[in-house]
Amino acid sequence: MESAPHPPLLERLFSESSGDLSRYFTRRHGAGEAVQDLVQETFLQMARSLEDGRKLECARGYLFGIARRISQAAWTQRQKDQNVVPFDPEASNSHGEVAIAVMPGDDRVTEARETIAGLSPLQREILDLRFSQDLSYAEIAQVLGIPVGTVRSRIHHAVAEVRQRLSADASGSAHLNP
Amino acid sequence: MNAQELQALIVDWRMGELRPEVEALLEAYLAQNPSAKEESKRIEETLAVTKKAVQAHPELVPSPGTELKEAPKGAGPARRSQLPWLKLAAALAVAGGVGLFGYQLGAGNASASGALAPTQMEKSRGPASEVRPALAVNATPSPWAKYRISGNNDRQGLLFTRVESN
Repeated sequence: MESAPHPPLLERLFSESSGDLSRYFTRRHGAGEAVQDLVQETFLQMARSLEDGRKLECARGYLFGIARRISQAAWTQRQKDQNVVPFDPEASNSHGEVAIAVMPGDDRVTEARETIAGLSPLQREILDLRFSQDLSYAEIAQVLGIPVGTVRSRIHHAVAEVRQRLSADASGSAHLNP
Repeated sequence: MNAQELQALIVDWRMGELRPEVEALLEAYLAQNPSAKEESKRIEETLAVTKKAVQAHPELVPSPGTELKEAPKGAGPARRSQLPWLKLAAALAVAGGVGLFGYQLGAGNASASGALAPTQMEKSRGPASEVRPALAVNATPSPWAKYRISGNNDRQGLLFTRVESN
């Protein structure tokens, strides 16, 4: 019987996911040393879970689930701290990560951004976990504690919304520039 | 397979969420259907643009303190029943049961013909207070509320009117 930690799994997760976790926290809390602390805390809690002998069907989803709880706790703590101005992702342009090159005048990305901004917070979270963290439907479901079918339907809806917007603008442009 | 199902399959396929055998079937289908293949390309482009927008705009990520739960589906405006006849049948069954129960309770040992006869008469009389003469005649007032059931064309259902006893 193996009750010891699972170093191979933890090492593999660390090598594969520490960068993704850094990005996950940076996109929610901004860049800084605190991000590395949050990543370390996440792996620490993961190691404890493995010590408990917990069986993990979806280790990466479980890891990001821990990250999500730590992120929420850090956010709450930050809100309580009167000396620190809470980080507001929507008001900040600097997130300490390499910005994705968006060509000036890339209207389609701008339109997609506007459409996504109008989606529900749950849908935006799902899109981020999918397109930024590259999590599978099942992993996203585990992170957020929702059914896989919900993840799938929200992604389908979001893609349909973006597509509708892009199609409408494309047809509008065609009418203007026949 | 309708257009919506095809789109959903293509999205799942591009996301790498399809089982290999389903993937093979879809690829074979797309190879035989140029219009479906065009649709696949458009969805692929949409996914690429969406991914770019998400990655380039971290401000779209909800803050960790945001409540992610969505409003339950039932919170919206009430939907009209898809089976009005079923509702009507259920209402009729309930109405029949209530009427029979009320009749047995209130009419006591009156005969069926005797109990129904005043009901025919009440149509000509009109006032709701005189709806159930059989009950009014009864010396012992029934503890149960009395109702008159009539059609309500506006609501497409039955209208239950409470009848005040003296």
